[in-house]
Amino acid sequence: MAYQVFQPAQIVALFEGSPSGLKEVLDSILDSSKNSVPQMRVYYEAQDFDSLRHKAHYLKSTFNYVVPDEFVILLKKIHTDAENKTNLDKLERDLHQVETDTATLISEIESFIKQKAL
Amino acid sequence: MFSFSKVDLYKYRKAKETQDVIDLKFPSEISKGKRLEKLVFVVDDNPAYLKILTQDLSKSEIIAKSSDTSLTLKIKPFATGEECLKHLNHNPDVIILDYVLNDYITDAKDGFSIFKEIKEINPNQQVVMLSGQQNPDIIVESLNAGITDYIVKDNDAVQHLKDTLAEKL
Repeated sequence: MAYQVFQPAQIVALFEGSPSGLKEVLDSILDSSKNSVPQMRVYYEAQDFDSLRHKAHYLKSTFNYVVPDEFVILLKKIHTDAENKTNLDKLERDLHQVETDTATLISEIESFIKQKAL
Repeated sequence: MFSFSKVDLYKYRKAKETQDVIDLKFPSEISKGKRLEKLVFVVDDNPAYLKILTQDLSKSEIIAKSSDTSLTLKIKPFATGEECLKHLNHNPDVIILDYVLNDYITDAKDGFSIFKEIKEINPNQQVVMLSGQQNPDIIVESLNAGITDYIVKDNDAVQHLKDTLAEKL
């Protein structure tokens, strides 16, 4: 990982003056992160590429405002590869990267919530 | 042309009398002409994305291209199409609908089925599809079925959506 995962500037600006709204959306992102990434692993193990593609897309929408482009591009790559069934030998590596980055994202969001007393 | 209400005039005169700071608001409706509120339904099963999009659109100021009117968007979010259908009697100006509505709520109807039901109830209802589906067949099918616009959820999606609203509202 060569980038900082949680990038709060955009979402903080969007929810300026609404700490409860910010907390709600961060909780939603945490919830999606904790549920969807393990599901992606299950779909990968079951070779269920259609469900894997759906989940990658879902996370891409969820994370779009809070992660760097590199992370979104990685999810997009998984989405495309699962859809076209291409680069399947690299899916494991990419999925592992998503798992690692998401674990960091969860930890950084939880720290942010504590630090800002949201 | 500015026009003051009686209350504004009263405040202005009182401020002049007391040499107070004049606290009259000059909102953008005065400088840009009329300001209209438009009701927009947003339907998306992704809770984080729905919250963010609702907030983003609520804070946006959109200028209608046809009338140069400033629009304030009142956003009503729904997690399912079924919930949206129950509120159609509120006569939304536009509905923004995700194509896939059953990622999170697996027994929910998909966006295209909801779109067809909306059109049965109100054939003139404007519906914009906002979706991650980039399959050309789906896009063509949606446009042929009467979708107002089809926007792919990429990095420019929200700006594209605002441009569409400016054009269609």
